[in-house]
Amino acid sequence: MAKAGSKKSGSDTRLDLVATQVTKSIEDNVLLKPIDVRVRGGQCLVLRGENGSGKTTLLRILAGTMVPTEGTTTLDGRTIDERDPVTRREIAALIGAPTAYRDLTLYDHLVLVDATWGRGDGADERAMGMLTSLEIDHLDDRFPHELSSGQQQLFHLAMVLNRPSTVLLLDEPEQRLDTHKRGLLGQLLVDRKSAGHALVVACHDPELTAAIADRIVDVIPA
Amino acid sequence: MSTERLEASTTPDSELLDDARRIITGEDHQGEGNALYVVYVAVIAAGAYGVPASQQFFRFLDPAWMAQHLTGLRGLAAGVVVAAALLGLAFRAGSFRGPVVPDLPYLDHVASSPLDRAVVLRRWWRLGLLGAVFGGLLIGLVIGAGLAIAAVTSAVVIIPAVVIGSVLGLLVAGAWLQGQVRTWPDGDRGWGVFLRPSRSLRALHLTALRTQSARAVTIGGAVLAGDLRAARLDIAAPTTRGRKLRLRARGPVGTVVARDVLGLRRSPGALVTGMVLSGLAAYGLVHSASRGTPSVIALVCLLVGYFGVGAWSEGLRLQGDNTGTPPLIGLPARTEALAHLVLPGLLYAAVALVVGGVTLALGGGSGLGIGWAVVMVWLLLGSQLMAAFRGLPPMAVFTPGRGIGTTALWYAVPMLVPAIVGTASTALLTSSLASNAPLVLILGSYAAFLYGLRKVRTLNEAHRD
Repeated sequence: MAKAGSKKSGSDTRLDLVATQVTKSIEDNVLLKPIDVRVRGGQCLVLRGENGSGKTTLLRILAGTMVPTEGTTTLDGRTIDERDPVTRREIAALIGAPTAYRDLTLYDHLVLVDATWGRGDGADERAMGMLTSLEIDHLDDRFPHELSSGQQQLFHLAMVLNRPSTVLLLDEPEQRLDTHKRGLLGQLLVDRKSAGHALVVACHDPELTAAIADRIVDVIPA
Repeated sequence: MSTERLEASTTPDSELLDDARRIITGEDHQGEGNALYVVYVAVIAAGAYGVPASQQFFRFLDPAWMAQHLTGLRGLAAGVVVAAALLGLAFRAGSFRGPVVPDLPYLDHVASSPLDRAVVLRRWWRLGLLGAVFGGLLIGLVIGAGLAIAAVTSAVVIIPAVVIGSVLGLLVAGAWLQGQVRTWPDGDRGWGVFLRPSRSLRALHLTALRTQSARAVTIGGAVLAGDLRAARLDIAAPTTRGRKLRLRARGPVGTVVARDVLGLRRSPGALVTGMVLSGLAAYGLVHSASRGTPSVIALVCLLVGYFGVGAWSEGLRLQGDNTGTPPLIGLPARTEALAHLVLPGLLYAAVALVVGGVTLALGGGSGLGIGWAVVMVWLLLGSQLMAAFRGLPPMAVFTPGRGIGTTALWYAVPMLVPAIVGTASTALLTSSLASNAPLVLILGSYAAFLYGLRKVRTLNEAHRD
């Protein structure tokens, strides 16, 4: 598994995602109060907090798609910035719905995502495997506009989970999923932890939180 | 509690409607003033631009060819085909947006009342009818005047051209409304209501009217916000073809190109549209390299070519729609954008070569003309980059009085670049300064490409703040 950067603490070679005193303000409006978070490879940090508390903003900052007003974010000591190919390679994020190609089926989307990361042979099998793991393999030849809202969410999760990464940032991945699918998702995320991934998940579901969280951070509204 | 039946009002519906409109708009004749202004601008534009362009076009076309094809039975058949195509288009347009599209509050509060729907909705129908008939009249006038000034026929042709244009406009308006009436599955929707506006208007269902009105709001908002994806999704029929076809991994860049190929296989309409428009553009560009060909031909062809190549560039536009979201595709945005240009570039070059070769074989154009049409591909691809990565419109589009003009200009810029650069370089090619033409074309294409790639980068970074 690829590792970003070179700074490791002691003999622990696990990933190290750190946000130090990050805040976000737009003019006088505070979107995120100063907060510290740290998550290592093999761990899952769950963000909780009421609507508007800044969970999504924090996830955007951790993904490097938003610049914090103050504070720093690093992955293995390297500043997180979406323009940096290392950031893009290491961090996969589902923050809002990604735009889908209206002329590609679900299967095609996963093959496209897989192939563009240069993973070599086996894109077909990996695509079907991902659809199967979320129990949507019977929808493989559907176009995105032919899905229900819950199926759309599973499709978006499949795309994000299908691309190589070492850090997963998920914004309310449980939304619109039924109880059984939430259980499936929980198991997939636990498997990712076991594989050494670092996870940061904004979540409102107590059961899913209990299943995946190593630590819980309550994001306090501004 | 007692129930009380309302008695029908004795006040005519038109008076009740005038009262309602006075309350809504606060004025009596605002709409009529706007319509008159549009008529005024259309007349000025037809005289200043339409007639000169028309006569240049007819000068370019071979008079012998026109005499052979546009007179007698052949001419009549061609006219019937064109008229049928226009009526078909108008009918189809009516199913997306008919002539009668009041705003939603008017529909909810006035059209839903017991007032006669023929009275409530006739204002919009009359505006649409006026626009279609007057538009047909102007087009007839422009074509007739162009034919006369280019000395193809005598000036008498203007009279039948104007009459035919007006009648065709009337029929187009009728087909447009008929297309709207047919959007509701039952009721008085047969061809018996064609050009019977009162019956047609009464056949319009409130739900169908609301759907079209909401769509107009969505598309209008999307255009103003620079979000053409929302507009495309609202207009375009969803893809359902070729679901059993599968995308195969062919390496990072190859898979992106394969994606675009698969997209076109599932959208044969876009493939054919691109072929036809690019073919027409290439045909004109092959001729435009010959001395004596009016510059307007290159201008028109480059505009047509822009739309032709655009029909094949859905993959690039979808990438543009995705800018700013966390990356799913493993390629740098610049590489992905360039990969999306491969298919439209190859298709255009192939079409230009085939059309040029056929033209040459039939005794028209020249080898230089074929090469000239082919190298325009860089300019057309650069303009597609600029269009796909337009970003957000300037704030001036929200300025009262300047909004429409600024919006139109902002959308037109990617289209104007190839039109201006291509026309200028073609004009040089057919002048005594021919040696400078390639330089102008190369510099212009390079600038368009460079600007497009810069927009790819800046838009990907713009969301960070």
